[in-house]
Amino acid sequence: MIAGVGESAYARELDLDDEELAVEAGLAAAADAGFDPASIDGLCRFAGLEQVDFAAMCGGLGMRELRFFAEFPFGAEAIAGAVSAAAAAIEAGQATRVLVYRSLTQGSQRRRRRDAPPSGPRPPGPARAPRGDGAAFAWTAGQIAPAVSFGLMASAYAARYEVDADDFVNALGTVAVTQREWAADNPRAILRDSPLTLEEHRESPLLADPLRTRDLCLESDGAAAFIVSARGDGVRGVEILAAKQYLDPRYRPFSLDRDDLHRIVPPEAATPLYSAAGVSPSRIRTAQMYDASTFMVLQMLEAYQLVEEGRAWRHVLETGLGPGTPLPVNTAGGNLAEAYVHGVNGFVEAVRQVRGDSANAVLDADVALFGAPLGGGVILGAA
Amino acid sequence: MIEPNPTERGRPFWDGAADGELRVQVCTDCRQARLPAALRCGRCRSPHSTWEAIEPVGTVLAITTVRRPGHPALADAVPYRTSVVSLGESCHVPMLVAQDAPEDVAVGSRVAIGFLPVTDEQRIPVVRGHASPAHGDEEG
Repeated sequence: MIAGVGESAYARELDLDDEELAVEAGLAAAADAGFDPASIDGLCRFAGLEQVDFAAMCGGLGMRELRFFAEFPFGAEAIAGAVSAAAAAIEAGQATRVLVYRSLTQGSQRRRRRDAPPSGPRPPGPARAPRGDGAAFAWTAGQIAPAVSFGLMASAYAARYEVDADDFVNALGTVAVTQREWAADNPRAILRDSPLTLEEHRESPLLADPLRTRDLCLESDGAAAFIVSARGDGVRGVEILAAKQYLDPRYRPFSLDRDDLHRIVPPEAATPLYSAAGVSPSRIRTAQMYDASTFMVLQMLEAYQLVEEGRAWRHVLETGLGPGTPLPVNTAGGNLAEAYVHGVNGFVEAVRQVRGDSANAVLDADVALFGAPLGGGVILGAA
Repeated sequence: MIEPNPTERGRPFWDGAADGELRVQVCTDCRQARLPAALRCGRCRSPHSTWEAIEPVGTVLAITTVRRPGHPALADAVPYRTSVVSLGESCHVPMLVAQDAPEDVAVGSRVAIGFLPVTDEQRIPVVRGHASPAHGDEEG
C-alpha cells in the first residue's frame, strides 16, 4: 500500500538545494505515515534525472539500513515502475518500507542561467547537434525544446480528429484555466493566487502552434515523496489496486518516430492496467494526469479510456474537468499550477483523494488513477 | 542552423543529403525501409541492410511553427516551420519546412523534399512544398 506522502515547500525558487528538498519531502512522508524515518529500508529514484543519491537520503533520513534501491527511466513514467517494483520487493521480503522521491530545482537553475555573465559571442557558423542519429534529425529540423515536440503532436491530433482551431485553443485553455481553479484552493500551489482566464490563455505568446506559454508546466523548486509498505503497515494507507510500468521505445519522451503522432500514450497500455486492478475505467472517480503541457491531459484522457478516442477536446469543452464535474482531473493544480515535480506531486494528490484529505477532496473518491505519458499508470483504492 | 552529428551507422543518410539524395536504410532480406538507421530490421530482424536513394517525396504527419528558439543557433531563424515527414511505413523524419514553402502545407500534404546547405559540405533535408501531381497519388 501507499503508507504516506509528503512534500517540501513548493516555490518558483527556494534557498534549498536538491538534497535538502528531497530529505524534507522524505521526512514529511514518514511523518504522514506515522513512521520513524529510520525505519525506511528501501529507496527508489528517477534514473538519470534525480540528482540526490541514496547515500544523501540514508544520511538525511537517518536510515539504519538500505536493503532495496532501484531506479526507473524517464519522468513521470518512473512512478508506476517504482511503485510496482517496491511492492514486489516488499512482497519478496527484501525490504519493508520503500521511499520513492523526486527533487527538482529547475526554477533556481533557470535564474542562475539567466544571471550568468555572458559567455561572449557565439562562434560564427552553424552549431553542431549532439552525437546521435535521432538528434541529427531532430536538431537539424529545429526540434529541440520540448514544446516543439508537444506542438507537433498536438497538430497531428487536431488534424486527425478535424478539431476546429478555435475549439482546440479553447479546449487547451480550459485545461489550463481549470487547473488554476483547483490550485486556488490548494495552499501548496505556486499559482494559487494567480487565476487565469480563457482570454489570458489565448493571448499568451505562441511557442509552437498550437501551444502557448500558458499551455506549459511550471519550472519550480520542490520535492515530493511517498512510502510503499506492506498491507496493514501504518494507519492511513491506500491500496495499490494496480501499478504497471509500460515502456515502448517509439513513445519515449519527445520521440516522433511513429505514424500515430496524435498519441502520446501507446494505445495498448491502459487495458492491462485496468485488468490488473479489476476495475473498469468508469470506476475512476478522479484522475491525476502528468501534464507537462495541456495537450497531454487531453490525449491521456483518451489513452486511459476515460473519454472516447478523439473526443477529449469536446469533453473538456462541454463537461469540463473542474469542481463538480463527473471526472475531476489534476485536482491540486498539477504541474501546470501546483509545482513541477515530474508528476510525483500528482501521485501524492491521488493518494490524498483516496484518503479524503485533499484540499480539493472529491466526494467518494474511493478509486483514483495516476497516469503518465508512456503508459505507466497506477490505480489506487481506499483501504 | 544546426549541422548533424550522426553515428557511423546513420552517416549514409547525411552523405546522401550532402549529394542531394534522399537515402533510406533498406533491409536486404525483406526490403523494408527504415529511418533513423537501426542495427536490425524492425520487421524481420535481419542484420543485413543497404542504403538506397528514394524519390524525394513524403507525407506530412505533423507540422508546427516555432516562435521561440530552443537553441542560440536558432535565434535568427524564428519563426520557422518544422514537421515530421513519413517516407513510408518505418521512416519518420523530422524536417524543417523551407521559408518559401506554401502556407497551406499541412498534416496530410504530399510534399517534395529538397536539401538546404548548412555548411560548405553538408546539406539537410527540408520540405520544399507540395509534391507535383505526378507524385501526388503514389500512396493511393
